[in-house]
Parts: sequence; structure tokens; C-alpha cells
Amino acid sequence: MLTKQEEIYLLKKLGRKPNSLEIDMIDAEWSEHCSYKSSKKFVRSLPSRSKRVIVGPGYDAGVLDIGDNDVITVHIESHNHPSAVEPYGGAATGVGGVIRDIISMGTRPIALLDALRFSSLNGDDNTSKSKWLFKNVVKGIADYGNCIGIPTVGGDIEFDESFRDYCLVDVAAIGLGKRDEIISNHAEEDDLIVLAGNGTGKDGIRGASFASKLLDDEDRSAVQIPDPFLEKLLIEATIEATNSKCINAIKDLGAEDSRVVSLNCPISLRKALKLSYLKFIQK
Amino acid sequence: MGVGIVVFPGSNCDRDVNHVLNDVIGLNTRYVWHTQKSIDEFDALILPGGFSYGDRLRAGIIAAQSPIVEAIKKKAAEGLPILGICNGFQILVEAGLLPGALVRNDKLKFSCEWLKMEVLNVDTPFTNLFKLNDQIRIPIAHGEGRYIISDDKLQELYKNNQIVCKYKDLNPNGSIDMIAAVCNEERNVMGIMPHPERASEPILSPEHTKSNARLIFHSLKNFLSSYTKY
Repeated sequence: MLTKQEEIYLLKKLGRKPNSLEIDMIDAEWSEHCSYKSSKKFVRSLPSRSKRVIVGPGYDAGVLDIGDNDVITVHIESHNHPSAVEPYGGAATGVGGVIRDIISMGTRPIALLDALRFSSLNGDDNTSKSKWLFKNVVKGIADYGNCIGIPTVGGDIEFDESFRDYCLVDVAAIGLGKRDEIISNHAEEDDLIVLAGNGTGKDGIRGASFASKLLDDEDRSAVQIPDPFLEKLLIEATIEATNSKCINAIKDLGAEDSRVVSLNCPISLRKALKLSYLKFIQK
Repeated sequence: MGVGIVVFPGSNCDRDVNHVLNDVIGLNTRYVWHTQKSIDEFDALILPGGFSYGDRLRAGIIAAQSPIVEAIKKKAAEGLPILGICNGFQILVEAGLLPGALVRNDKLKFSCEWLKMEVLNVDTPFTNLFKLNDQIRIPIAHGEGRYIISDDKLQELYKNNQIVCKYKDLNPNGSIDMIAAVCNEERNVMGIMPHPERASEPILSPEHTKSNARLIFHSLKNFLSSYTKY
């Protein structure tokens, strides 16, 4: 939900009352999940400039030069709320989400890392929920990685009472590619736009807004149902298309979903598009 | 010529097998897409592991209906060496090229670990460089790897010496008689549940132990070089 302050700002900038679709889109774009509006100042304190950094913050994944024309891409994302209400699907789709950011830079995902936080599994009371979260988060990560054939090579874990009834699931992916094959993300005027991925269902609706609020309602329908097989096909198809030099620009659409496609594509690809929602493939 | 690596949607060990055959063993390879209807140009075929069609319905069952499987059946009858690893084993079983069935592990969990396997038949294109009862250190990674077969068919397997490898000391999935790899009566088609391609380079072996699993691929190379037909 937009804050009062944001609503006033929007009203002033637009010069009129936004309609419900506009509110929906801006709500997603301005959510913490998409804009990092409150965590930006902390994230900015991390080192991001070096001789080895080819692509820094602002793109789907960071690109690091490792010599010999080889580069690695790195992307990290949290999937806390989804994992706290639907640990299996939430953690699995967290893995799926970071992998797409790696392929959208034109590199092949080769490894996964996880940083997990739970409350104690051994306490006297109230451990059944943390056990349930722990078991299913681990299973979600494992099943998804196994199916798409990308190993989870490491991570860290901590148990503390402050995570009671909750969990933190941070997933990182690493990709490997060639320096001269990195997708430049500059679309030409007559390029075609292809929207590829899962069909639209009743799952994963308003995920970005959900993930940005306090967890006061357990909205399971905000969590997507994982489909690692489809993602595996998407990885191979995208890599084949980039290797065949068919692609000028790629953008991963995370929890932002199709509402925001129409905003994100023009901004990052410098192309406008018209979407017919009636033509969306449904699950 | 060379070894064909059959790729289905969801195969995910194809590139590992390709790397090992080319860069470690020294065999030429080419990927073969599952829609291909004929495969005349190969000396051998490998069906790599992975999750063809996301293991939906049952591991290997959908891939076993692919156009290429008809061509594989023809080639199998002609005596072409064919190796199915993990999901490839499941596909060969579902296609009826190998006896028995692979069902969910007895603990109903995906299992991923290094273990030992014992070689019981050294007269196949994939085990001819081993000595009888040699032990192989090798990793497994599967959720549906419990090999089952009816009692009378099991006796036939023993009679025809079709049990190529058995797990040693520990049964990771509840397979009948600890069976890890079987071949057909003619011995040119073999299915193996563990992953030799993940144990073919020293850097991949845990605790700096040596794994001799790559002898499976060296055996294939040896077999191919000693038969003029292939």
C-alpha cells in the first residue's frame, strides 16, 4: 500500500487522481521489494567499485572480470515473507528468481548460495513452527536446485529467538560467461519484445507489495507455485538465443509481475509496449 | 562418428558428460536432440542424468515416448553400446530396453552422497577395464532410484549375469539385492543409477580419495577402439 505521503506526491505529479490500475502498478514499483526505498542507504554502503567491476549496481546482476575474457555474474535477493508463509514454495521461487537475473545478463548460472535464519529448533516451546519452516525451506531450495541442475555450493545459517515465527531466506546465484558476450541491454527501434515464462495463475499475485509489508496476514496466494522444469527450459532457451546473437536486451521480471512489465521495459530497454491482458497465457 | 549425448527437455548432466568424454577421456561427442528420428552417425549413445520433463508423472516416463527413443530401440537391437545414467537409466527402463523398474527411494527422500559400488560383470562395453569385484567410489543423486523387479525376473538377471554393479556396505535407496546397475541380455545397453561423470576428475572426489569411476568411460573407449565395426 502506498503511504499517505506517496499518495500526495503522486497526485501532485500527475495533476489528477490516479486510477486503480495506476495505483496498483506504482504500488508495486515503489514497494520496498522493488525500490529498496528504506534499505538503499545501507545497501549503498557496500563496496561496489573496483577495477574488476564491469557492471555495478542498477542492473539485474553485477558483473565481475575474472581475467582471460571470463566474467562471473552475481545476484542476491531475499525471499523472507514468501518463505515465512509458504516455506517450500517461497524458498524454491527465491532460487528461481535469482537465477533469472543471472541469465538476463547473458551468463549461465553455475552455483547457488543461501543465507538462512530461523529461530531455535531445540527450545522448550514453540519450536514446531520453526522446525516446519526449516525443513521446508531446505527442501524447497534443494528440490529446485536439483531439478534445474545447479548445485548449492555453500551458505550460512544462524538460529536466534529474534526470528521467532519468521525466517530469513537470502539466495544468491553465480553465473559464468564471456566478457564480450554480456548482454548490453540496448534495444533497437525495430526489435521484437518476447515475454517468456510461466503462465498467469492465481498464485504469485501482488507478490512485490506483499513482500514489502509487515507480515500481518499470511497471504499464501501471493507466493508463486514453483515450476523448476519451466525455468530449466527458460534457461536453455535464453542461453541458446543469446549464443545465437538473437538478443539485444533482457530484463528479468521478478515479483513485479506483468503489471510492471509495461513500466520496466520502457525504462530499462527504452522501448514502449502495449499489452493485451486477454492474450496472457493462463495456467 | 563419436558418442551421441541424448538431450531431453530437463536433462541437466549433458554438459558434464560432454566435458568428461571430450576433455578427460578423449572421445568425440555430439548432442542429439530428443526430437531426432534417426541416429545413424554414432558409435555409442549416452542418456545423461537430469529431470527430463521435470520428473512429472514418473521419472523418465514422458521422455520414453520421445521420437528418438524409437531410433534408440532400433540401434539397441543392432548392438550399439548405450549407457543410461540416473535419469537416463530411468528412461531406458521406461522404454523397455532394460528390465525392472525404478521407484521412489525407500526413505521417500532425495539422496545425494558418495558411496561404494562393486563390479559384478566385467564383460560389458562399460566395465571391461575393471576386475571382477572391484570397488568403485561414486556419488549418487536421486529421489527415484530404488530398483525393483519380480522374483523370477531377478533370478533371470542372475542367470544371465545382467547385474553389472551392486551398492557395497550400504543400500542408499532400498534397491532389491542392492542393485545399482543392470544391462540387457546382449550387454550392449546398460543403466547405472550413480553418476560416473561426477567422479571422473580428482578435483571432484571428496577427502582427496581417488575415484576409479572414470574407468566406466575408459572402458567404452577401449571397447570402441577394439571393435572395427564401431
